[in-house]
Amino acid sequence: MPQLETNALDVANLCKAYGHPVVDHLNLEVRAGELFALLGSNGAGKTTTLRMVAGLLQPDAGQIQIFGIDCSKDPIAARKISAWVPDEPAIYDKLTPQEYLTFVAGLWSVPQDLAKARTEELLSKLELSDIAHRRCEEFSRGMKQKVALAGALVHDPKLLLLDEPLTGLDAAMARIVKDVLDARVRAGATIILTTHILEVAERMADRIAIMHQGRIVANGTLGELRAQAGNRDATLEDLFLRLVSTKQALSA
Amino acid sequence: MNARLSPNPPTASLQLIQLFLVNEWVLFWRAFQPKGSTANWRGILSNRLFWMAGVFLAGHIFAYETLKGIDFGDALKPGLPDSQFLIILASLTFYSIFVVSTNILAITNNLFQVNNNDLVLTAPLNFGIYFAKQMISGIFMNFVFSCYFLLPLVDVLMLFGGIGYIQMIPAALAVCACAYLLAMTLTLALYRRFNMRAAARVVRISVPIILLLGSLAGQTSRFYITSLGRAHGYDLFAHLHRNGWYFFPVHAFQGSLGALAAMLMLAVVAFALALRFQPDRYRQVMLIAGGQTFTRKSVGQSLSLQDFQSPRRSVWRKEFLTARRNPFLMQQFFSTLIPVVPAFMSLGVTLHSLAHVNWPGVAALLGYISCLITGLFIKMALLNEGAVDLLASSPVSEGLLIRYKLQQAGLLVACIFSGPWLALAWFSKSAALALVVADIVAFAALSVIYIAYRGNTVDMPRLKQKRLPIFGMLANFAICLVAPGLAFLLALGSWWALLPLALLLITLDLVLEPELRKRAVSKVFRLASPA
Repeated sequence: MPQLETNALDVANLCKAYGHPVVDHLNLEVRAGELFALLGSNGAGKTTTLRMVAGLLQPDAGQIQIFGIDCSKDPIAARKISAWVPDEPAIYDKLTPQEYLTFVAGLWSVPQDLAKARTEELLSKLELSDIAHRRCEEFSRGMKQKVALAGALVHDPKLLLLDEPLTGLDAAMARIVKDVLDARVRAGATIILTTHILEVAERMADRIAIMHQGRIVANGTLGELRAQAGNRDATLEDLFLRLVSTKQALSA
Repeated sequence: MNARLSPNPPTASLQLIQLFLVNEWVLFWRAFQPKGSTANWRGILSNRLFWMAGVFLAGHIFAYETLKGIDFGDALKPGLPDSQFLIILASLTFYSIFVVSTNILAITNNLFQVNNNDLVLTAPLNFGIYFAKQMISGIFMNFVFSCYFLLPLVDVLMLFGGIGYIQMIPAALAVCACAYLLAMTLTLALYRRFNMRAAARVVRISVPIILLLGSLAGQTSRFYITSLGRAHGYDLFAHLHRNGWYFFPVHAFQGSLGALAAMLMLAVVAFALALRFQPDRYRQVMLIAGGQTFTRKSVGQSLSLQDFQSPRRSVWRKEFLTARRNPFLMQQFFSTLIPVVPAFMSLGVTLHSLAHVNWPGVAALLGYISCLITGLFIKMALLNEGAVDLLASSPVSEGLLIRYKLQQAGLLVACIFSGPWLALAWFSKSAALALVVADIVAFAALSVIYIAYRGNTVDMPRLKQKRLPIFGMLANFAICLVAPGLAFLLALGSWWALLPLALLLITLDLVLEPELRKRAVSKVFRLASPA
C-alpha cells in the first residue's frame, strides 16, 4: 500500500538563519499516524521548524514534503491537509467560538453539513458548548487555546502541527486536550507537537526528537533513546538534560 | 488618611502626575499604531513623525490648492476683502474647527478606554491625581491635534500674505482647550460616582456646555478682531451669515443660537450612537464608578453556516463582523470619515458659482476624498487582522486573500463615490477620468503596502511577528501623501503626470521595502537573541 508507506512529513537539509543559523541542515521524518514530539531547550529551533512546515516561514534552503507534497511547489495542496496551532492562540477576539469554527471551515471549504456536524462535535468534546455564543475576547488563555485547537481540527487535517499546545492549560483542560489529541491519532491523523512538559512527551508520543542549536541530536522511541544513552531506567528528563548538556559542552 | 500615599503631598503628587503624563503619551501613541506593533520609543516616534509629515504635507497642499484656484482679486490687500476669498477662508476654518472638535471627542473616549487599565484603577491614587493626569495629557494631545490641521492653514495664509484673520486660529485653539477642560471635569467627576445611565446623562449635559463655551469664545474673538480695528473682520462675519447652510458651525462659533442648536443636535446624536454601539468602551469607566462593571452580552445569533460557505464569503463576513464589533476600528472609521465631510463642503463652495469653477480643484478635492476613504479601508484591513497565522496556513493564497479584502473595500468606495463621480463626469469628463485614474493609483500603491505588510508579518521570527511598525508608518504616510500628490498634479492640469507618480510610488515601495524589511528583521533578531 503506497499510501501507508508515505511519510507524513519529510524534511531534508532544512536551513533558516536570522544572522546566525536557527535551523541548521535539519533532516526529519515523521511517519503517518504517529504522535511525534519535538523537544529542545529555548531557542533550539523547534518553533521555527514547525513554522516552516506550516508555510509561515520561507526556508533559506532545504525541502519539506507533507504526505509527498512538496511544500515549495504546491503550498496550497499542502495546507489543505495540514493545520497549525501556535503557542499563542491566534483567534479573532470579536468572533464567538462557533463563528470562528465556521469561518475556519469556510477557509478550508468544508461542506456545510459536515462543518456543522464537526463544529458541534468539537465544541462538545472540548467543553466549549456553553460558551459557543460568547465572544472570544472574554475567554482565558486556556479557553482560547481550546478554541484554536478546535479550529485546527474542524477541517479534519491529516497533519496537525501544535506548538506548545498544553501551555497555560489547567489540569482538567490539559486532560481534555490530551484525550482529543489521542483520539485523533487513533483515527489516523499525524500530530507533531513541541512541548517543554517532558512528561507529556514521555506518555503520549510514539517517537521523540530532541533538537539543539537547530539540529536533531536524538531521534526515536523512548526505548531507543534510552538504549542510545545506555540507561534503561532513565527518564526522558534525564536523557534530555544529558543530551543537551553534552552538546553544550561539545560546542563550547 | 493614608500616609503611605502622600508622605510629602506636593512633591509626590507632582511626580505621580509626571509619571502618568509619560505613561499616557506612550499608551496613546501605541493605541494608534497597527495592532500589536508596540516596539519601542523609536518606533512610536517615527510612526508619529511619518503621520505628522504626511498630514502636514497633505494639509499644506490641500490648503494651497483650494486657495490657489480662487481669483482673489484685491483680497490680499488689507481692507479690501473678496467674498470668494472669505468663503474659502471660512470653509477652511470650519474644516479645522470641525476636525479639532471631533478629535476632542475621540480623544476623550480614547482616554477612557485605553489608559484606564486595571493597574491604574486599582492603584492607591486619590481622585485629584487621577483627574490631573487625565486633564494634562488630554489638553496636550488636543493641542497637538489642533496643530496638525491648523498649522498648514496658518502657513498657507501667511504665504498669501499678511492676512489678518490669522487671529482666529488661537481663538479656535482656546475654544478647544476650554471646552475640553470643562467636559473632562464634569464627566470624570460624575463617572466616578454614578452608573452607566448617569454617565450617559453627563455626556449629554457636557456637550451643550462645550458648545456654549465655543460660542462665548467666538464672541470674544469677534471683539478681538474688532478691537484691532480691522474693518473687514465685520465683512467676514457678514459673508458667513449670508453664505449658505454649510456654515452653520461657524455661525455657532459666533454665538448664533439657532446654529448652536443644530450643532448640539448633531453632537447629541453622535454621542447617543457612540453609547449605543460602543458600550465596551466604557467598561473601564464603570470600574472607576465603584466596581459597577458593564459587560455587553455577546451576540452569537448573527451568523449561520450559510455565511461561511466559501473562503470568499468567509473572509468578507469575518472582516465585516470583526470590524463592526471593534470599537477602536469603528473609531478609526468614523474619525477618518469626518474630514471627508468638510472636504465635501469645500467642494460645495468650489461649485457654488459655476461660472468660476476650478475643475482641476474639484477633481483634486474628489481625489483627496477618495484617497482618504481608500486609505481608511486599507488601514482597517491591516488593523483588523488578528490571526495572521491562521490565514497564512490556510489553503487560500495570499493573492486571493488580498483580493477578497480589496474587493470589499472597493465595493464600499464605489457605493460612496459613484454619485459625486457621475456628477463630476456630467461637468467634466476629463476630470472624472482623472479621478478614476487617481483611485486606481491609490489602490495600487496601498495594495503594494498591504501585500508587503502581510508578507513580512508572516515571514518574521515568531516572537517579533507583531512588532513591525514600519508598514504602519508607510501606510500612514502613503494615505496622507498620495492624496495631495495627486491633487497637486491634477490642479496643475497635467494628467500625464499621474503616470510618473504611480511609478514613483510603486518603485519606492519595491526599493525601500526589502531594505526596511532587512533592517527590521536584523534589528528584531538582535533584540531577541541571547547575549
